[in-house]
Amino acid sequence: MKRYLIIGNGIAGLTAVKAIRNLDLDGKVTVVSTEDYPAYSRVLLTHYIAGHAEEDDLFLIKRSGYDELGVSVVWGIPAQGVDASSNSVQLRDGRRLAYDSLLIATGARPRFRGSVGANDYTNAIGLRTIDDARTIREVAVQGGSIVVTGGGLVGVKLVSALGEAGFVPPHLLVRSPHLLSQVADDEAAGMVANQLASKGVRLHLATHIEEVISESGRASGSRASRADLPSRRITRLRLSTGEQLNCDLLVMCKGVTPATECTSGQVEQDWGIVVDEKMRTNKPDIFAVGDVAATRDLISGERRVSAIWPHAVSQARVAGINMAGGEAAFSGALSRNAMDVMGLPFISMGQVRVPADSSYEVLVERKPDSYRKLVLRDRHLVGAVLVGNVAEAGRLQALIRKGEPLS
Amino acid sequence: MLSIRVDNEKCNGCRLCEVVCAVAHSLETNIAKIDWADLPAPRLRVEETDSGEGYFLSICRHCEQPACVDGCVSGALFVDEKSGVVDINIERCIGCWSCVMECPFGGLSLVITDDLGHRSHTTDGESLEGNTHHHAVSIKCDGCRELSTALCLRFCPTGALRGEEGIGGNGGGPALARRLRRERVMAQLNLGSNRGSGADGGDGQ
Repeated sequence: MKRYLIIGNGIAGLTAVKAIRNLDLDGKVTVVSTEDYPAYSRVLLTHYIAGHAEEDDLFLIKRSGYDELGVSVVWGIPAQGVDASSNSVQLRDGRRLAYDSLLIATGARPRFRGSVGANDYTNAIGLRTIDDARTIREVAVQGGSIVVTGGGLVGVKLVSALGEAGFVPPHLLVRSPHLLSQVADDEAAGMVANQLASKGVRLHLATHIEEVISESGRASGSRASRADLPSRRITRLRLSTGEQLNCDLLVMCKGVTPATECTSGQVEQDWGIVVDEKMRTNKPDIFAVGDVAATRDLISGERRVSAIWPHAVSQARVAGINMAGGEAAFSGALSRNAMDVMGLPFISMGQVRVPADSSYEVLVERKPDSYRKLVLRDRHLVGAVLVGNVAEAGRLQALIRKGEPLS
Repeated sequence: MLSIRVDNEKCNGCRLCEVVCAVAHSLETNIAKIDWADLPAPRLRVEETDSGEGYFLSICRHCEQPACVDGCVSGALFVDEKSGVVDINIERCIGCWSCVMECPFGGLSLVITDDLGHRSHTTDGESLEGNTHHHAVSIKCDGCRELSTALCLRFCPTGALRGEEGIGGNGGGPALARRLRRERVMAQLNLGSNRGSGADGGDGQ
């Protein structure tokens, strides 16, 4: 009887479990879940904050669902370290679990940078977990001043959610002069910025935190006595523009870092854990998927971590099939993102920024309420940005994947 | 299992499919009473090609491993195991556009809930009234599952739309009343009310 061990209980871990069970009904499947919750949709957290979804709606499975799948779960205990030489994983509580086939689906964690460290302040958090989302919602409901830093997708979705729910308009601090610099061109980013500003979000572009003004004060309640928790509380922020903001909660949305700690030194890593198209690491019994895995990009051909939901799902299915003795391959990463910015739809995919190079061609359509841009490289579609009118997005993605030259 | 096939070359742009789809998903069961100016959005679209020389259809194919379901972050989209219909529980839809980004056939679109019209679209038969906090939800072909056959497949005069197989396994319980009500519509459209009903499915053509 094969022993499968899955570290991580997000959409990737859950999808892999289902794929394994589809092929192997007898194997012993164990999931290690850092959080004491059944798998839930992290992408929905901003929608929960906006009030589009209730807390119950976040969950992808009930606790009892794991029993139905014949899976045992270690709840609320992180994995400490993988030992590839003995095919075992040590948990934080000292327990050691043996495996025949191991999946690393540990995801990523918010990146803290600059003047605010991850454990410096009681009221500086990321947005990654249900607990983070609850904290943000509680502060918002109480009418607190929320400052979001980082102009990427999570930051934009968060201020959009807070604005849409009618909370005190949040501040968004963005170091770059443009929002969404990783996924949009300047024109599309400008439309998103206008949309946010017109709905009351207070945007601070080309601005960063110059100084954090804090006071002594431990977290309240059950966290108060824990010495490992921060003891200072942010009260105000002085910005690079000289402006000062009241701050009840600072949310860091400056990207994520793959959570590779437990595999450190055991498997090959670069931007994330290096895997082949079967999602296998350089150790034959260890697989990695989702936000922790670095795969080949369809457009650039380079290896990168492309931390998006549909990749987590398709990679996890591939890994699960291969772990259970089947044959499957991941078709390659195509970065893509969709969101609704307070009523303005936005989708971008593939390469959206164009180098000064004659092999590229850009087609742009501007209408009063929409902007559509296609990027072609040697007559192949390699990227698209759609704002306002996104109806053709799926067909365009199919064209990018097809890789045939356009006439 | 339902599977819809499209041959754009055969489409003559008559848009009968759009009309029957809108009628099938309207709240009105008596065709004589239908307010033609106030039909819900159809779940498929006929569009002219850029050259203006032909047409193409955007409709769900009811894929076996659908990209829209894989991309759905809210758990709203699902495959009905009995019928093979790719369906949506709009109560869970948060209007994030992910499915629109994923479907290579343009089979899904977002509408304001008021435009949806057909309340019984939700899988549990509940109305949309509790859904006021959503400004937009995704809609798609549901295979006219309560009618046992997709109306557009029945009505397409050119064969541009074809079903590979019939839909089996109609839902019982609350679905039954809706089915009977909609079969009345079908009868008025001169289709007869008894074709292809029951668990062994319609012929789909």
